[in-house]
Amino acid sequence: MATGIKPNMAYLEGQVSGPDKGVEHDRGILVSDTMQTSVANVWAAGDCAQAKGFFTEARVINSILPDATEQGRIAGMAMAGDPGLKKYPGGMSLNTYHFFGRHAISVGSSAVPEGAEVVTRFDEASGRYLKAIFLGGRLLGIYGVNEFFDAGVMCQLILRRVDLSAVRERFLANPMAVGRELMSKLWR
Amino acid sequence: MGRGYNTIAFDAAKCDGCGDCMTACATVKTGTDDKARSRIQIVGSESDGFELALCRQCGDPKCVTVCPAAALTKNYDTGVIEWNAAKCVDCLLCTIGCTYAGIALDAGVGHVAKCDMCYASPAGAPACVPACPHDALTYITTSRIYNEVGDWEDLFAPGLAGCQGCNTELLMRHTLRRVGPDTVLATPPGCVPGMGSVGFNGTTGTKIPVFHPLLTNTAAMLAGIKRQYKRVGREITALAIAGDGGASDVGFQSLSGAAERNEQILFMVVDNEGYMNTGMQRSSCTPYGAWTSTTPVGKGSGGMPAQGKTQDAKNLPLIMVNHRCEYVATASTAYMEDLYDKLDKAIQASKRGFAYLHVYSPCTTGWRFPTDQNMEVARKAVETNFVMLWEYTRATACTSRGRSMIRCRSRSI
Repeated sequence: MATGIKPNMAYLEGQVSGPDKGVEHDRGILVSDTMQTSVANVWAAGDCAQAKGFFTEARVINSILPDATEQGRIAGMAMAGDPGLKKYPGGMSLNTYHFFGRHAISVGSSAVPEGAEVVTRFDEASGRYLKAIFLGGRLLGIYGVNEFFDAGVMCQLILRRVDLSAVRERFLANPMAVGRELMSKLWR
Repeated sequence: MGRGYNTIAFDAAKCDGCGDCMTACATVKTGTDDKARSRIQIVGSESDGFELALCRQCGDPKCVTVCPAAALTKNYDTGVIEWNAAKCVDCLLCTIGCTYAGIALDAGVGHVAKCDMCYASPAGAPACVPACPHDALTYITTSRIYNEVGDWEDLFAPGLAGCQGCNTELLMRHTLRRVGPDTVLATPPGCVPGMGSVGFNGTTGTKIPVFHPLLTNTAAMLAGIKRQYKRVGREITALAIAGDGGASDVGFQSLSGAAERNEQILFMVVDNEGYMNTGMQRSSCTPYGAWTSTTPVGKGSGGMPAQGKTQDAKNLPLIMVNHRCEYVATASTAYMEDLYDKLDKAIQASKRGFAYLHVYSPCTTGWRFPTDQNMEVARKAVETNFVMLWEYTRATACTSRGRSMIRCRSRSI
C-alpha cells in the first residue's frame, strides 16, 4: 500500500539569485489564489502546486484530479486575464475508492477542531458506516463506507458553508436524498 | 454561432412526487422498476415541494474534465454527455466533479449511470416525460428554431428602442428572419414603428423596404403595393406588423376590405390589449374590467366607481375567420415552436390569399408587471385559457393542437 504524492522539485534547485529569485517552492511550487508563482507570468497547477487549503491558510499539496482541473481552469483564466476569474477557494480532501468489496467516499477534513462535533453511525447487518463532522451547524467533513451520497454535492455544502442545523437529523439519516434536496434549492 | 439542444424542463409546481418518471426511466434503462436506479431522481417532500436531480448536460461539464479515462464526452451534435462503458475505470471521480448529482453510482451494476436523454431509444426522446401524469416534465425541442434561425440574416437594425422586457423585438426579428429579404413591410402607427422599424434621421430600421401608412389604410396600401409587384412580375411577401388598436379600431375598415377581397397579404397583429405607445388608452381588444388610462379603476366620481373597461374585448381573430381568410391563427411568444409552425403556414397561405396572424403580447409598461416576467405572463395567459391558441384553414375550420374546436350537437326532436 502507498499513500501521498511527492512532486519532484529538484529541477528548481540552484536557480540564479538576484532580483529574480526563481520560482519559490516548498514541498511543491508555491502559488497564489490565482495559481501564480512567485515569478511574473509563470503559473503552476495540479499535483506540483502547493496552494491554499480550504480549512487552513497554510499552503498544501492537494493532489487529486478534481482539484487539479479546477486549478488548471483558474490558471488558464488568470493567464488570459479573464474578468470572470474567481479566486481559488482552497483545496479540500476528496476521494472515492473500492476496497475489499466495499465502497468508501470521503469529502472534507477529518480534523476535529475545538467545538466541533463528530457523529458516527454503523449498521452491522448492512456494513453501512457514516461519519460526519460538524462545527456550528456547518459540515466540515463526511465519510461513508457502503453509504452512498453525492460527493460533488457534499463538497459544495462544505465550500458554501451551508448551515445544516435545521435539517441535521434528516441529513444524517439520508445524506444522499437531503443533499440533493439542498442542492436543488441552493444552487440549481 | 453556438448550438442549442433539446432539454427536459421540470415544473416543480405540478409535481406531486408520484415517481412515475423514475419507474419509467428504471424500466427503460435497467429493465427493473427499482426507482433508486432511475437516472432522473425526484427528491423532496409534499410539505417542502419536490425537486429534481438530473444531469443538466452542462456546456462546460466538470464530470468530463475530471474523468481520468476519457470515458465521458460531450457530444456537440446532440448536447448529451455520453458515458463509454468500455473506457470507464469505475473510479467515481465524476461524482465528485458534478455538483448537481447528475451522475451517480448505480449500485445495481457497480458503474456510474447518467441520463442520456434516451437519444438511442426507438422513440429518440426521453421516456420519463410522457410517463408524467401531471405534465410536470416537458421535452423542450425549441432549440431547433435557434439552430436554424440563428444563421439567417437579421433584417432589423440593432438597437431597437423597445420598452424593457417587451417581447415585440423578439417577434419582429424572428418574423422578418423567417419571411426573408424579399419582403415589403408595412408598420402603421403603434409600438412597432415606435421601436424603430421606420428608422431615424432618414434611414430605415430595417434592411428591407418598409413604409409607415396611416392607421386607417395599412391593408389597403399594402394590397396596392403587392398588386403592383405582381404586375411587374416580382415575387414578394407583403407583410404588415400592426398593433391591436390599429387593426381592430381605426384600421379595421381597410383590413376587413382586404381580407374580403382575399388580397395576398400576411397581416400580423401584435395584441397588447391597448394603445400602449401613446399612453395606454383602451382599444376594442382591451378585455373587460382591464385598467387603461381611459378606463380607470378606483373610486371614480359622482358615486360611480371606476371599474376598468366595461365592454368585452373584440375577438378580432374570430372576426377574421368570418372573412373566410386563407389562414387565421393566434399565437404567443411563450410558445415559439407553435408560433413558428403558424408563421410558416401563414407565409405559404399569403401566396394564395389573405393570411392573418394574431400574436398575444403582454405589455410590461402598460400592464405594469415586472420586466423580467413577460414570457411568464404570456405563458400563464395561455395556460389559464385567458387567451387561446388555435388556427383556422378553410379545410379544417378552427383547430387547436390539431383537434377541432367546434363540437356539433345533434338534437333529437
